[in-house]
Amino acid sequence: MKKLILIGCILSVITGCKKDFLDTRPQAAISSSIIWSSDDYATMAVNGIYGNFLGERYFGDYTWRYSLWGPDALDYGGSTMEQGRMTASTRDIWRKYAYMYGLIRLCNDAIANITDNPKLTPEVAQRLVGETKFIRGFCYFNLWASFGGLILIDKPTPIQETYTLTRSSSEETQQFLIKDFTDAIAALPVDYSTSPSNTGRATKGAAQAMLGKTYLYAENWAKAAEELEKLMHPPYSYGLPADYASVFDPDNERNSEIIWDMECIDYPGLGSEQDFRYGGRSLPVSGWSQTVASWAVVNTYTNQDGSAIDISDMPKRENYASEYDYGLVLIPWYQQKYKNADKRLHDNIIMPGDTILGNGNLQYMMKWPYGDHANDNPYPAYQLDNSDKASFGWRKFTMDAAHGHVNREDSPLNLIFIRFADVLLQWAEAKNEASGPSSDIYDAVNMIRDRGHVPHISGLSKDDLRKAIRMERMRELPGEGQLFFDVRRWKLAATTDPIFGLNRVENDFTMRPYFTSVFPEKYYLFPIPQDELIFNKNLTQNPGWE
Amino acid sequence: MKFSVIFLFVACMQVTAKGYSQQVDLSFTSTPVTKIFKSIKKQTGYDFLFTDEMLRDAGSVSISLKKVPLQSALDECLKGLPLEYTIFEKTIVIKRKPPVQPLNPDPVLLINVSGTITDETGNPLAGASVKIKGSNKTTITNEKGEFTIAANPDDKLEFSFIGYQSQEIAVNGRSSLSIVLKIVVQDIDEAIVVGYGTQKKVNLTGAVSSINFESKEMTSRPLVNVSTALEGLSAGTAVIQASGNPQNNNATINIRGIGTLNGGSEPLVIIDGQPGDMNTINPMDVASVSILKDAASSAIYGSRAANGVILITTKTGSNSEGKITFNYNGYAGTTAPTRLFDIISYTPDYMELVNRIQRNSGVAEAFTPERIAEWTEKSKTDPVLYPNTNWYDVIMKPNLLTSHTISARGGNEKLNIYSAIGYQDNNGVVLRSGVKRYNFRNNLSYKITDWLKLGNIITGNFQQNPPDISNSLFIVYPNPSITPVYNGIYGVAMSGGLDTQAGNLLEEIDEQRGETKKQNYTGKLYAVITPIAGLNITGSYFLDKNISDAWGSYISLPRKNFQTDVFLTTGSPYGSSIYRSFNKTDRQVVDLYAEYQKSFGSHTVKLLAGYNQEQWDYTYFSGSKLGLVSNDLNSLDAAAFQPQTSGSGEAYRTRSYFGRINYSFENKYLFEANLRADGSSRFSPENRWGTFPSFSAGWIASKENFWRSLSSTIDFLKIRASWGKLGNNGIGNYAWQDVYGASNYSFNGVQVQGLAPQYLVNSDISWETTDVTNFGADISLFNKLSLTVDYYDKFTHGILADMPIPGVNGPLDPPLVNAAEVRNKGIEVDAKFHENIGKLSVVIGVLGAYNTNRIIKYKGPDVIENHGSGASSWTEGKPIGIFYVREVDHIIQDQKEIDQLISQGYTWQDATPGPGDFLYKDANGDKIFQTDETDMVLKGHPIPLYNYAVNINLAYGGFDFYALANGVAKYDKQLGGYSEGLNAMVGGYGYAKRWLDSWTPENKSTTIPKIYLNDDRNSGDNDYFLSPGDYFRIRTIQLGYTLPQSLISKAKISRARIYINLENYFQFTKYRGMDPETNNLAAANSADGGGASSAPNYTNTYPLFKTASFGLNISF
Repeated sequence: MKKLILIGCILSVITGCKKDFLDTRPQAAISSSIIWSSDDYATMAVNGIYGNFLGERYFGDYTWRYSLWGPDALDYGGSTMEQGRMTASTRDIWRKYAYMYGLIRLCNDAIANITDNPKLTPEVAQRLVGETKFIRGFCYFNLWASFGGLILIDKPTPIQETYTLTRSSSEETQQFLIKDFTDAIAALPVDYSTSPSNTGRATKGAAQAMLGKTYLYAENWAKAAEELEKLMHPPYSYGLPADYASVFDPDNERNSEIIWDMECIDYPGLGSEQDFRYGGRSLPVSGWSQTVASWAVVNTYTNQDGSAIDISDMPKRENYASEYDYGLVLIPWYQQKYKNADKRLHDNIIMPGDTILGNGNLQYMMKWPYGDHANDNPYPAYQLDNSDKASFGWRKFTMDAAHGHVNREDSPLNLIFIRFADVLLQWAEAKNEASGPSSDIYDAVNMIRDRGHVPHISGLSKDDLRKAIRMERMRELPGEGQLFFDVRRWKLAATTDPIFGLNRVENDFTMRPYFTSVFPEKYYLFPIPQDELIFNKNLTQNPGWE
Repeated sequence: MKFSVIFLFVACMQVTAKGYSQQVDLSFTSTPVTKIFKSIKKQTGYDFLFTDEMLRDAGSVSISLKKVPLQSALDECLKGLPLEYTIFEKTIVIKRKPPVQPLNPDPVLLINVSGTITDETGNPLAGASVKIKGSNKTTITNEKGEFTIAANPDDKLEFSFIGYQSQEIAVNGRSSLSIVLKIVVQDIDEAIVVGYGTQKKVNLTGAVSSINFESKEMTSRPLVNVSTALEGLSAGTAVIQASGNPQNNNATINIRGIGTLNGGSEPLVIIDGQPGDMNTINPMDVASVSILKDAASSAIYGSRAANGVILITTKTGSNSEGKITFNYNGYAGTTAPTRLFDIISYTPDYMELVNRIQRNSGVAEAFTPERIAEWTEKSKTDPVLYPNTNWYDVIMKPNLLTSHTISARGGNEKLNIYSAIGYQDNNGVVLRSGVKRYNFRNNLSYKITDWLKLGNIITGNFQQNPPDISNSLFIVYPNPSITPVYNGIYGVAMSGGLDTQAGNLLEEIDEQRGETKKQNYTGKLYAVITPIAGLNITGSYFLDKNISDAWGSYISLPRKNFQTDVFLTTGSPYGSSIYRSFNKTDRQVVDLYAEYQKSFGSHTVKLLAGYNQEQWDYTYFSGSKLGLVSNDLNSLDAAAFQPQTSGSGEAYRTRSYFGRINYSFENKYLFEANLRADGSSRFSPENRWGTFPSFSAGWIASKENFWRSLSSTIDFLKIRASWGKLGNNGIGNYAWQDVYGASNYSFNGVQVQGLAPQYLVNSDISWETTDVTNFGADISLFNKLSLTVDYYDKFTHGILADMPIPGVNGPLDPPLVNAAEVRNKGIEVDAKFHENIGKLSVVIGVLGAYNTNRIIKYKGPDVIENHGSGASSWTEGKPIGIFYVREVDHIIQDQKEIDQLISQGYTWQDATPGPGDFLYKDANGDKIFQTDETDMVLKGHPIPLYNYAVNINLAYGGFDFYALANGVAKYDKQLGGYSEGLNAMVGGYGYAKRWLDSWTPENKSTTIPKIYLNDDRNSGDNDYFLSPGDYFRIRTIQLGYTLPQSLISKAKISRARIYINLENYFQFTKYRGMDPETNNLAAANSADGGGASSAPNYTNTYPLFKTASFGLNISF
């Protein structure tokens, strides 16, 4: 009997176990099945899209990577892209492709699940769909500008179905973008003044700007001018702060010029990498100078009286015994030569002899060779990267000691994608192409030139005005990731144009070559990544990459 | 009643015996008794009374007596025969002895039989068991090998001891016995621990290796953990210790190759019945280890057994009639690295080499001849301003390894106990990397009634160590010799700006403070119920609790250039950082199983059925801050800035049913079947359950009648075959679940919660399945040589792989699908030879294994996928991790060669090489030397083809000698990184002395090409960097001496043995890197989630170390 009781006890321990014993759940994540069941969760899911958007390989690297691929900046080591060695198998190409589609996948999930969802408040749902359509459009725009006609996926799609999808034409893709941006314009508010905690979400103006930019890239000049011009009138109230540098001041974010940026704060994972990629070792966070400014940018600036800066009298290396001796002459020459240059030059670039408040609250001066001046007092040399390169450094986007922050990868400066000056120049370009020079075009361009303290322009031919607008874009927008796309759509990248052509030798400020930049004709469109063609026999490759 | 009859009979004999004193002479050899009776009759005149029937099976007698009394003569004559006699007047009446009554012996008649048990060399065997046959009365010998047991004069005694042949001796009324046990060559009666029970080796039908850990050679080795102890002891079991870091020196074990592409290719480890970490237990507490290699033996563990199973049984007490034996075993040894690079520690050499590298790359030379001359001269007298530092000497010192274990062991009929405490202090060979370990174990069982036994096992293991910084120290070569060490202030490299980045390893060590404390407790309660004879029901509850508590702090220390008096400060402007982390793992296992055994006639049947469930729960949290106010403090509240916290947890559950049938007929024909059904939380409810069967059969041919003629040569032969299916669920705990996790963002400068999908999920994933077929034979020749041979084919299919998907699905890793296949095939041989030459006893063992590993199916026939750093690749038809490299033809010695190639139309995709550079092979013959895959080939042996081991055990008098060596053959490793890259970094790094012999126009080396700066023409993945990793290592050499009894008995010590041991002392290899054992295979299988994909192949690591130790083992 005792035996039976004992066996019974043990058996009851076993059978007492719960039926759902084998059901376990992740403890820091929630099931996909409940994510669209309330306003709060749905909002969090859309917030998560913004969170991903900021990720390094999504849009976190947008400004610096497209800049060094473009005419305004370079990787002093010479990236595969810059040296013309890119192939359809280059990993960066696959990344640019797949990461955009990764965001699109999230947007498709959100749009499909939020639209007409009875569990959500209609007003919230409308705004969330507007935001995700804007972001989806923004991603497709980036892909369209890079690759041309695309596989257009607009709803959640099982993986099995993705092996046979086909590319739409560039024209169809453009229509898709117009639809997304138009929908977003209708759904989104002008600003979030009534709910400030939402500041940073996509706005009607951002969608309006992208709609205009879509027409511009499609060279539908009249339509582009028409859509972009809307941003210059109510309900919009965008403007240009008088001080160019203040636009990029983390204490002056959300200024009147900003149309669309990603919100960044100094917190792990929530800041931008710009400090790290543009800044040097002497900054409080010890940047890596992944990108440095090109001679092409420096050469676009004029003196404040409008005269060209003549650098033919630059001291030559061969006349000096050592680099040290040469540096002692070269730095003062730069200071003298660029003393009266367009103010934006010094706001954008740390020129030789310029100073910046760096690590330890010291003023660092751009000297060369760095090693010989590392311990100068006062003004130790500003160190760019790990080596003793004679590079132009970036002041734009870098946080001096007055704005010091802790994490190198988490600069608090918002990542700016669309600002009013860019829109004005786009509008000016479209308007000039559509109807030729007019006073309102000059007004817009001169408004921008005022901030560089350079003279107004007027009375130009259509061609000269086109050139002036292009030069103004280079002066106004260097390092912002815009010019790479500009020189491609202007079909100047594959030329030897001294400013916009990407077939040239890239030199440092002592005129030593870094490398030879190569931009083959086929680069006007990126290749569809090789792997995609292997998986999907229905895909066609872009010209020149077959 | 019976008592009185026997009593009277004895009394009668004594009385009557007195009357006859006539003496007889007898001298016969092998003579029938009747003939002897006739001789006695002739000499004494006494008649004999008997029947022929009585003497039918009496046989012959040899006897030789002179002038002995009649009675003695009769006693002697009938000794050993089933006969007795009485003398009635002048007649001797012969009778058959009454049949022996085996049970219920009368206490009055019991005699105390005492004696000693020794081995063949006369050493007493302590702990040997003595059992009265047919009863459950047992005792064990004390430390002098002595025993006393109360036995019936007619009883037979069984003497047994692990590792020795059992013996059976009849008492025959004797009260003193001297027993010599022979060491087994192959003890076919040995009980081998198998899943949920034991099995006699003779009856095994699966492939199982068994290792006795109680042998003196095992208990005398300075073993830092159980996993490394298994090296060289089981055929087909590859044991690789990747690192000598005391904090992480566990060996990686692969049984019969690598069976998966994912993590979790290590075998399941079962300790006393429950899964556990073999490295938490004190090797001194282990009694035996069984390694289950084929599906037949491991299918009872189902879904976790695909990589084999290791069963560890710890020591228990046994019935020693209440006597408790105390034992102390301890050793102290010095440790030193096994093998290091020869690095340049003479700074003028370093400077010359830097100049040479810069010259090769067309860069201005860093050191002027004057500077080098200055250093050459002044470094003779001034080690601070002109150092020639050998950084290996600075951070690595010979160090101490000590271990002490005290145990008590014994028991009586009801209560058995083994109780031990242990301490191990392993200082490591690198500064501040030591670990202290403390552990205890209490194994207790108590027999409450005939049908109920209760028991518990309680263990604790504690570990204490500083933060692990060794990896950062060994990623690259150490600092250049140009850096002075410490002069009250840490030095920096002093060479005109070039070397300011060179760290100071001593400073790096001193900048780290902290401590990690790990606690592991296990507790098991069990009950065994025997409701009817032959049926045992066992129920147990097991809890395993791991707690780890760590804190660490990084202090920024200044460094100084002593030549320029400039301080270099680094580190965060916020000062010292501090972190603290806690994590906890709870594992609970419930087992309930019943065994039933029954024999009828020639049939024996054993049945097992059971239930098992396990739950595993893990939680952690950690926090860190910057700006610690004082480096003497170690709490987070003592720091000011940037608080960061994280925390979460994971869990999994399994639930299983299992059963086994053993059937044997005439103990010749053996059959076994296993079945296990497993349910796991790691799969969706639809795919949750898996069933894993196995079947095996054996035939003991040597028991057949027709074998008799052969049995003097082949005394034992068993042929085995088995087939079974095993599973592997070594994947993430939630891989099938589609979830959203944190993807935060900020609006208006304020952080908000965001959620995003974490993975692309395939909810249909299921078990990886391994089918194993095994054929084997166990052979014994001349009773001296035993041989076990196995052939296996292990095919794993449904391996989870991330089959690539189109990029339009986004950049997240593709979902896992059960798609890939891997096959391991091999042969194992295990031979043991035993011979006594006079007093010298010799045992020699040899193990060998050959294994081929192939990926059968992966991402397609042409896909070659790089995995981990270096050239390791996965591709179909090749072993996991095959090297994908360019082949070097030779080092170009003359520009003419190049000119000639150019004139023949050859071109180079990259820079055209010159003299001193590699000329690669144009693998595809297109006359273009390409750097990409078009000129790459698959080659090398990423996994050793052969594993082998030899051991020798000698004993002579009180001395014993043991040596164990093992090795691998057909094995390649890739060298690389900064240490071997031939694409040097100038500034912060020391170099190999070997590089001084690199190619220069003056020294046209044919073995080492030109070394460049930022130019990989001679580096990258080419076969120059493949180096044979074959090695032969003498694991252990041991000499022991057991002190004679005469010497120690006065000190009340029953046994004392002293020993010296050299562990890992000698190694033979052509490998060009640090130590061929470090990393590679082990890293290829690290269960870090990356699995075999993370093979870092070539990074340098904490060196393995050798130990010279002295130890003492005493019992009292």
